[in-house]
Parts: sequence; C-alpha cells; structure tokens
Amino acid sequence: MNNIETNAMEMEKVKMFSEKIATVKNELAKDVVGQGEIIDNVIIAIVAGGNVLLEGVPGVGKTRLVRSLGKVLSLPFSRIQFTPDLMPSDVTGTNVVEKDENGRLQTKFRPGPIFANLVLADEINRATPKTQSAMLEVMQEHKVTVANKAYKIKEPFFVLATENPIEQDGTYPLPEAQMDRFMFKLIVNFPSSDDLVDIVKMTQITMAETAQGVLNGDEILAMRALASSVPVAEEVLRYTVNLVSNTHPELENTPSSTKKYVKYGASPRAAQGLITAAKVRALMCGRYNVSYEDIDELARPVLRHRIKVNYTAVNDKLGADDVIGLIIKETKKVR
Amino acid sequence: MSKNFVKIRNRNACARWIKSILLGLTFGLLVGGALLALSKFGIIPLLPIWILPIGAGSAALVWVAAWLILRRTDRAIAKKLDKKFELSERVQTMLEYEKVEGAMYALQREDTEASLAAIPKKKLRIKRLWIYAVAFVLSVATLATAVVIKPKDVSANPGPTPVAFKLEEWQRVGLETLIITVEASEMESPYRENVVQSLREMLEELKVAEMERQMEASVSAAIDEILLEMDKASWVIEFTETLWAGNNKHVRELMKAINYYEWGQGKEWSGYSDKMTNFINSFRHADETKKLEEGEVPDGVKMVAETAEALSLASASLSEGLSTFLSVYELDESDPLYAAFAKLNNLGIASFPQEDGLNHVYGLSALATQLESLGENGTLDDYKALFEGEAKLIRLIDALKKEIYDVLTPQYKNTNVGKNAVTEVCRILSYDRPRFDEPNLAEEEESEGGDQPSIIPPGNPETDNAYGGDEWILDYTKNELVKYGELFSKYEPDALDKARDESNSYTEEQRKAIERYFEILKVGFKEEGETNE
Repeated sequence: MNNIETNAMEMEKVKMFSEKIATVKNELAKDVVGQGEIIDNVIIAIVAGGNVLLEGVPGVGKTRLVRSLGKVLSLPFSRIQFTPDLMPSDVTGTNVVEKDENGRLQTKFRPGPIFANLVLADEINRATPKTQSAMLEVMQEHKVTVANKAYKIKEPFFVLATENPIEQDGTYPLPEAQMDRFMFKLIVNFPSSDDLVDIVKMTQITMAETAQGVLNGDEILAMRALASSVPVAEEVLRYTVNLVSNTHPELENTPSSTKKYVKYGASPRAAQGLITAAKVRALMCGRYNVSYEDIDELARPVLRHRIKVNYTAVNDKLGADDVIGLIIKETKKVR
Repeated sequence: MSKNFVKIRNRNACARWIKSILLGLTFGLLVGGALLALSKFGIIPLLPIWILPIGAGSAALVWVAAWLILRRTDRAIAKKLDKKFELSERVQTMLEYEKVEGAMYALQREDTEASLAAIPKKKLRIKRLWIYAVAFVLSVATLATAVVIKPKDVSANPGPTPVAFKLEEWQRVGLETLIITVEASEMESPYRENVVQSLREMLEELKVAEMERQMEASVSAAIDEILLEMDKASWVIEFTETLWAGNNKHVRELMKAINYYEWGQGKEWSGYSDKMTNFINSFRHADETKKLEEGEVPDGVKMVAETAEALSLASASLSEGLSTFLSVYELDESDPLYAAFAKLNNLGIASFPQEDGLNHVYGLSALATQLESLGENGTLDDYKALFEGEAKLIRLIDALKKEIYDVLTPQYKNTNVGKNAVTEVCRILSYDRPRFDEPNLAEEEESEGGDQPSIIPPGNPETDNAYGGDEWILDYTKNELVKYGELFSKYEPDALDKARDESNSYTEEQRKAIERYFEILKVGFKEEGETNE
C-alpha cells in the first residue's frame, strides 16, 4: 500500500471517529436517560485511556451506565462491590492450590474480578485503605503482581469507580495518590424532572438493558491512537500548563484566588490528562486540533479531585469547582 | 501555506499600508495647514516655503511609525483570526504544523482552509477605514482653508486704536504762561534759555500734533531736555549731597544747616546762628555786661570757650572734608565742580585767615581757659576781647554759611525751576510726571560722642510746634548746656505768670511786650511788616 493510499485510509478513519462516537452515544441513550455530559466525559476518558470516578447519590444510574457501556463497547465487564471486609486478594486474585491431572498439588493463579476490560469498582470508598491500594498498581500500570509474579491485564482496561457522597460512616476517603490515578471525577447529579419522567416510564416497561455492542476493544485502541495524533498549538499547550501551575499557591505569579482558597495544587498528571482528553474531545467535536474551549470544558473533571481547597473556601462556601472557575478566569486573561 | 490565510495576510498588509499612508498624509496636511494659518495670522514667523518640507517630513515620520506599529506577525494574525471568527485555534495550529506530514495534520489544514473560506468577505474588510478617510478629508479641508484665507495685514493694525490729539486753547495758554514764568525765573543762564527753548519747541510740535502718541513723544523729549539742564545746573548740589553722605559728623552737621533754608520765599538765611545769637544776647548781654561792670567773672566764659572749640572743630572738619573730597575725586581745574570746591575750600580758609585765624580760635579757647583761671584777677578788657572774639567767630561762620548758601541757592533754584516746569507741563497735558530723586534731608545721624553737642538746624516755623526746641543752649543759672525747648518751657510759664500777675507793677504795655517777646521766641522772627498770627 503506498503512502497515498495509507493516508487516505487514515483520513477515512479520522472522519469516522465522530460518527462512531455518535453511534456509541445513541446506543447508550437506550439504557441511560439524560446524563449527556457524564456520558460524553466517560467516553472521552475511555478513548483517552483514563479511569473515571463517579460520585453521586444512590439510584442515579451510575452502575447502569457502566454496565451499558460495557455492552456497547463489547468489553468484558466486571463489577466489584467494595465493602469494608473486602480483601485485596478479592480484587486482584490469588494463588490457589489445586491438583493437576496427575493428581499432584500445584498452585494456580486464579484471577480476581479486576481482570476485565471494564471494571466497575462500586463504592470504592467503603473498602479499607489496604484494599484500595491494591487498585493503585492495576489502575496505573494495568497489571497485577501476586506472589512476585506480574499478570498483565488485557487492553483496553478501564476502571470506573463510584462513590456515595452521603454515607460517611464506615468509609475510607481515597488517598491523594489513588485519586490522582483517575483521569476524571464526574459528579452524577439527580436527574431533571423530565429525565426522571422518562426514566420511570422506561423502567415501567422493562428494567432490562437493551443497548447493543457497536464498538470493540481494538476499535477503541485504534481510536485512542488516532486521538493521540491530534495536533496541539503551542499557545494552547502553554495555556494548559499555566492552568495547572496556577492551582499551586506556593508558586510565584499565581492568581490571588489560588493563594486565597487552595491548599494543595494538582499534579503534572493533571496537565497530561487535560491534553489527552482534550484531543479526544476535539475529534468528538469534529475538529482536528485542540482548542482553549476543550481545555476549559475538561478542566473541572480533571482538576476537581486533584486540588484541595482550604477552610477559607469552605467559609466562603466555595467548592473545588468554584475555585477552578476562578483560576480559569484569571488564567484566561493572559492567553 | 493555506491560500486563504495568505489572502487574509495580504489583505492585512494592504490595510496596514493604506492606514499608515492615510495617517501620514493626514498628519502632514494638518501640520502644514496649521503652520500656514499661523504664519498668515502673523502668530509665528515662518516663510511659506518652509511649510512644504515640514509638512512632508511630518507625514513621512508618522507614516513610518504607523507602518511599524500596525505590523503583525503571521502568528498574531492567526491568533486574531481564531479569536475574532471563533475558529477554535484552527489557524494557529495550522500555522504551527504546516510543514508536518500526516493524515491528521492534512485533515486539520483542510478543515482550517474550509473554515477560512467560510468567512464572509465583508467581515475581512479593513475596519474603521472610514475614520481614516474622514480624517484625511478634514486635513485636506484644513489645508485648503489655510491656503484660501487672506493673510492678516500686520502693518495696518499696529496695536490699540490710536487716540487723536488736539491742543486745547487753555493748554496753549498754560504752556505759554509757563514759558514766560521760566523766562522770568532766577534760573541761571544758559540753563534757563535752554529750558525755555525746549518748552517752545515742544509747544510748536503740539500745535500741529494730531495723535496722542505724537504729543507724548514731544513731551517726553522736552522733559528729557529739561532734566538734562537740571543735571547740568545742579552740580554743586551733587557735591554737597556727596558731602552730606560722607562720614564726617561735623561736615554733616553743617550740611544739615545749609539744606534747611527756606526756598522760594525770598527770605534770607534765617539760620541757627541768628536765632541763637539773638536769644543768647537777650539773656546774656544784660546780665553778663553787668557782671563785667561789677568785676565778676561771667559764667558764660567757659561756655564761650566750649562753643568756640566746637565751632572751630566743625570748621576744621569742613576744611578737612573738602580737601579729602578733592583728593578722592581728583577734579581737574576745568571741571565745573572744581570751582565750587575751591571756593568752599578757600572760604573755609578765609574764615580763619592764615594760621593765625585758627590760632585765633584756639587762642580764644586758651584765653578763655586762662580767663577762667584768673578768676577775680581778670580784667574787663580781657572779657570784652573774649566776647568780641566769639562774636567775630560766629560772624565768620555765618559768613561761611552765607557763602555756601550763595553758591547753592542758584543751584537749587535752577533745579526747582526745572522741576516746576516739568510738573506744570505734565499737569497741563495729563502726562505721567517723572519721579524726581529727592535727597533725604530729614536723616539725622547719631552723635559720635557725648561731649560735642550736635548743631540741629531750625525746623520750619510754620509747621514745628517748638521754636528750635532741640537746640542746645547754655543755661546760665546752672552753667550747663540744656535743650532750648526745656529751658524755654521752664521760663516761659514763670515769666508769663509774673507778667500777668496784677500784684506786680507791670503796665499793660510792658505785659504785652513780654507776651509778644515770648511769642517771638516760640515761632521765630518774621519779616518787617509781617505778623506772627
């Protein structure tokens, strides 16, 4: 195949990207009512290769969304219900002693529920820190080490974790190191009245999930590779870096709002995650370059779980999203 | 590079050229028009030939500056396009990766090209070009206006509206009367003739003058000529004022005495010496003569010696002062001042002829001392000689003063005639009178020592309350010098009470004579025929 033909195929793939995304969204809409922004961001994270933390009250469709997503993406789905008594080996798997065909005892690794392409870690904040830390390696490196032996997890691999913001008793807040492994933190809000009406109507008919698979893992990987080639202008890159730097109050020239409201800033993973996700978003929007708008739109999902606001912000009734909004406003002035 | 981007960039460059040229031309025309208008109105002295290069230069400077300021890089153009048309950083990305190969980059370039092509052409037009055009048109109009307006005729409008002048009949009569007055005055020749000539010439010019400025010019010239004559005529006054300003106390005393004469009233020098002499005589001659007849040593002997010494010192100081003045100024014999200096110097010497004259004064002092020590052994002839010597000395000093007065009187008359003439001219023609520098005659210096009483000249009898109140005289009752006013105020009430006391045997005529006598002493002597009322 000559270069011209290769290029033509590549261009065809790029053009098909947004069509495929639209197909995925349409299919998901059959099982999940509303939550358009959540679905967009989840798709972005999956294509970008990131993990997502979903926070919302019970019954807003977090689990249903992830399950439907697994079906639509034709990915083996696994659900882990985290409880305080859950052990790390319950997640990663463990070696068991078995008799072989000759009757001799041998140890065999029995993989845990983590060995799937799409893992739903339900109520992850209920697990003990020890169990939570078991997720760290797999989320970052996509492999599990048991008895000094590493077991690779098949790509694509995503962890979609959920958190219940209401229950505080018997929960263990996720450590910053683990929070940093999530590309996005998405707040699943209570559905609107119209959406709730549709949900009730639909579930009265059937509770079954009717979405069909329209994508597979290889296609997702191909889309990921395609998205990574989206060009980013130097100005946009600098803006992204400035935005993340401006979340650090200890640095010079940071905005006054940062110095006033932020205790800890975001890690460099935030900048990486922003650019990676922005590329996917650009393609989803039918563009072939990253814009400031992509960065601004993805700033809150990427940064809200990575910065820590101080008591001044709490006193002023400002949450992480509000503070991020102020930082964006200040950073925009110099672009 | 993207064709559409190149088109836009070229359009941008074209806009830059147009704007900068328009700005330059506008500025140059405004500067040229302003300069032309200002030069036509006479506000700035600028030849029209300079306006063109100045205007062209300003235009060129502004054009270059505007071209540089309006310059934009490709990146800046791209940024502006992305922002203005909400292209989501397409153009910037395209520009940055224009040379990178790959499907994505090719698609991005295509996408950007399509986005740029979709921009309506009217939105790419030069913004606010109409403002530049209007400014240019206004600048052309400014220049055209400046060209069209007529230059101001500066020569036809020399300033404020001139005021007409016509010599009134009463003014002519007043000036002619003044000329006659000056002709009849005692101003010395040739100064008087010169002043009269100046006034006549001024009058003739005023008769034909039609504008106020002509009148002012004639009056100013006449005043300058009169002042010049006054300067020439007052050379001795300058000399005496120099002596007055000197540091010699005795000279100053004499100058004070000289300056306190009465001018313009035709009176003789009613100087200090006459009054003092008369007063002393009224007290002394009778008593002292009687003492002499009775063989007593008069108490005034000592006073005479002191007085003689004081007067001699004053005279000697005058002589010394004159000599010093002459030596300092090194006057030539041909100098007009030399004659006056020499005259006064000789006058001083003449007052004490030869050395004997001075010795005569000192001799008198020595004689007075001897006479005092003689006590009862002194003869009447000795005392008489002493008194005669004192009288002679006083007469000599009076003669000295008179001589000085005779020298100065014409000078003062000359000056005052001149001043009066100038004042009268200014009054008649309502012209601002020049300020004349008057010598400060009222300045009184402090005495250097306590043993030399200062000779205070008499004041103006018509204005002063006391008749020589601060003069020092000898109180014979105590044989000490007291102020005349104090002594007079002590004796006058006592004398008048006694005169008016009906128990005393004074007749009505004697009483009136006494009252009149003290009245005379109080207000001074009058000319024969005048009264003191």
